[in-house]
Amino acid sequence: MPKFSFPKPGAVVRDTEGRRYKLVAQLNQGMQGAIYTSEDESILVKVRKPPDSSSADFHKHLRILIRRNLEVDALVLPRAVLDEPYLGYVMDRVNDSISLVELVYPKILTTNWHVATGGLRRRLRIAAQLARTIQQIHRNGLCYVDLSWQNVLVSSDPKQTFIKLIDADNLIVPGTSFAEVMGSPGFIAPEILKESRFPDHACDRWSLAVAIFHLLVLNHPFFGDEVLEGEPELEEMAYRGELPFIDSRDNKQNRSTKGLPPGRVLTRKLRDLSRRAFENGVADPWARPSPEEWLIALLEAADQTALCPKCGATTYLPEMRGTPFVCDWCGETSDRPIELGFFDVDPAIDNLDEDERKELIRNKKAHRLVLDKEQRILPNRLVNGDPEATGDAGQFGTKRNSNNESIFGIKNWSQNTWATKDAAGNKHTCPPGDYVWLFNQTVIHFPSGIRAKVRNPYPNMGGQA
Amino acid sequence: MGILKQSVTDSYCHQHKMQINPNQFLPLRRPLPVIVLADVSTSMEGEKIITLNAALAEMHQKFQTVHDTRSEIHTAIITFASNAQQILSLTPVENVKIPTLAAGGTTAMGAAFNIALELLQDEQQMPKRSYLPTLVLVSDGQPNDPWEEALQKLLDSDRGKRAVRLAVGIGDDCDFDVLKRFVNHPEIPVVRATAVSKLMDFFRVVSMSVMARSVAQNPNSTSNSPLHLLNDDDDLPFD
Repeated sequence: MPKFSFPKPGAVVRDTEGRRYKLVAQLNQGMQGAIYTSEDESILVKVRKPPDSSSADFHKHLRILIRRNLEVDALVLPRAVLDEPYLGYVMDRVNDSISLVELVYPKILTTNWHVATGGLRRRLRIAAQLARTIQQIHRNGLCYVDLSWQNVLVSSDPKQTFIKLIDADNLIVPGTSFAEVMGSPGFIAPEILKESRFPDHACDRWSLAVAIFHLLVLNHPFFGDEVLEGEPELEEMAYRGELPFIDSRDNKQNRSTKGLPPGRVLTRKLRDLSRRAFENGVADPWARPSPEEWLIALLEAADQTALCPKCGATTYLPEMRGTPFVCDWCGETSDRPIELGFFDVDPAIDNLDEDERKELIRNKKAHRLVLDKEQRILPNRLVNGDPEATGDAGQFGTKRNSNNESIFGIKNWSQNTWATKDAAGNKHTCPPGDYVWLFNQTVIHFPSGIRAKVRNPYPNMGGQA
Repeated sequence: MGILKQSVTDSYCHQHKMQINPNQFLPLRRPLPVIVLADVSTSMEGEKIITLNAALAEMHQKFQTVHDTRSEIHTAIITFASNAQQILSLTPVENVKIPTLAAGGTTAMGAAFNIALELLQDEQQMPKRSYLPTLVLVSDGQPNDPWEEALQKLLDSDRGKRAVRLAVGIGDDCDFDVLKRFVNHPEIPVVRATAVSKLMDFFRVVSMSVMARSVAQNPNSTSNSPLHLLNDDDDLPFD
C-alpha cells in the first residue's frame, strides 16, 4: 500500500461532481484527518487518512449522509465527496464561532471569564441546543457517536446561543458496521470501554449527559478530588464509571471540591436527571435520560434564572417570595425581578388563597418564568413542555410613565388577541402588537387556555401581595 | 409555623452568602511533561544550535495550540556540555519562554541522565497526578563522562522505564549506540539527522506524538508507539 501523505496547501482537490477546490491552509491535523481552508472562504475541505475499512465503504457512507437530507439544523453536513486519490469531503465553514471547550476551560483565565462567556443562562441554553440536536439526529435514526468539546462550535458572541456540530462523517446508523470512531475521551459510555461494543443511541445519551453536566458544573461527573489529585490510572476508572458519581445522593466516596457546586448550577430536575445518567445509567444504558427530557429540563431551568443588574451574571431565582435576589457570582442583593406563573387551565385558580396557590406552585403545577429583556415568553412550551411550541409568543418590554417610573409589560407577538384581568377583576383585551402592562395579580388568558399570573411586578412599591 | 418559616429563610440566606468564583473551582489539569535533553557541546556550534533553537521554538508554538480540559503540556529543558544543568524547570506551556541555547564545552551526557532522573522523582515538578513524560534526547557526539550507570538508573526508574523515549542523532560523529540504548524500544527507531534541517522534522514528529497523546483516550498509555507518526514523515532516515 502506498504511503499516505496529506496534500500540501496550494494543492487542488476535486469532488466527485468535478468541482475543484484549491487548498489554502491546513487548519488542524488530527489522527484521522486534516481540515483545510479553500479559496472559496465559505467552504472547508476535510481530507481523511485511509480508514481501516475500505474507502468505497466510506464513500458510500458519505453519499448516504448527503442524500438523506437530514433535517438537523445544527449539524454541519458533508456537501460533496472528494474524488480519488483523496478521501474526504467538502463542508460549509462556520463563521464567528469558537469551540465549546472555551466555555468549560478558558484559554486565558480572567476574573469574569464565566460571565463573559454567557454565564449560567447561556450555558443552559447551549446545553438545550445540544440536547435538541442529538434528539433530531436520533429521530433520523442515526447516532452522532463522537460528541466532544472539539466537535461542538458555539457562537463567539456571548449574546448568541447558536451551536454547530461538526465531524458529521462520524454519524452512524446503529448496528451497521461503519463505526470507525468510538467517541472522545471522557465522553465514551462505560459499556464501550468495557466491552468494545459498537456505539448506539444509549451511548449518545451518555455523551450528552457528560457534556451537559460538565458544561454546567465545569467538572467531569466522575472526577472527584481523589481522581483529580491521584495517579492518572484513576482517570481510567472514572471514565469506566467504576467510581461513584461526584454528586451521588448516597455515596459520598468520590466527592469533588472542584467544579461549581451542583446545587447552585443545577435545578432539582437537572440534578435528578444527572443522577439517573451517572448512577442507574452506568450499568443500565436505557436508564439514561433521553435528549428530550434534558431539553425540557434545561429550558425550564433557563426560565428560572434571573439577571444580576450589577454584574450581568445569571442565578436561579429562589422560589420563596420573601427572599431577596442575591447574585451567586458577585454577591449583590437586588430587588426580585418580575415573575410570571403559568398555569394549566383551571378556573378554580382565581378562587385560591395565597397558601393554596403556593401549594400549587410547590407541586410544580405552576411554571415559573423570570422576566427580563432577554427572556422570551412561550406559554405552550412552559406549560405543555413542548420545546417546539411557539404559539402565543410574547416579549418583555418596559416604558416610562409620567412619574418617570418604569412600567413593565409584555408585547403580544402572536396573531391572537389575549384577554387580561386585573386584581380588581376588570377585564381587558390585548390585540397583537399591543402590551399587557403588568400589575400585581394581573392574569393573562392566552387563547390556548393557558393562564399566566403576574407576581411581584414592582418590588419597590409593593410586597403587599 | 412562623419559626419554621424563619429558619428556612435563614438557611437559604446562609447558603447564599458565599459567592461563587468559578475560577477557584476549575479542576487542575494533569501535567503532560515533555523533557528535552539537549547536547550543547562545542561541536553543536553554528547551524546545529541555530536549528535546534528554531525546532524547539516551533514545537513550543504547536504545544500552545492544544486546548484541553484534562491535560496541560509542561516543558523542561536539560542542557549538557562540560556539565549538565536544567535550564527550564517543568513549566506549563502557557508560561514557558523557550531559552536560546548556546554551544560550548564537552559532552557530559551522563550528568544529564542524572538530572533527568532527579527531575522524574521530584514531586514538586512532577506530582503524582502527572501523565507519563516524553523524554527527548538530542546529541551530535559521544558522551565523555561516565554515562552507562546513569543511563541504567534512569531506565530502571519507574517513570524512566515507562516514559516515551525518543532520540535524534545529528551528523556522522554521533554515538548512535548510546541513543539506541536510551530509546531501548524495539519499535522506536533512533532518528538520524544527517542534514541538520532534519532536526526540524524530528521535532515536528515529537510534537505530533505529544499532541496525539494529549487527546488520546488514555494519555498515560505509551503503548501506542509514535512509530506510525515517524513513518508518516516523507523521508526521515532511521538508524
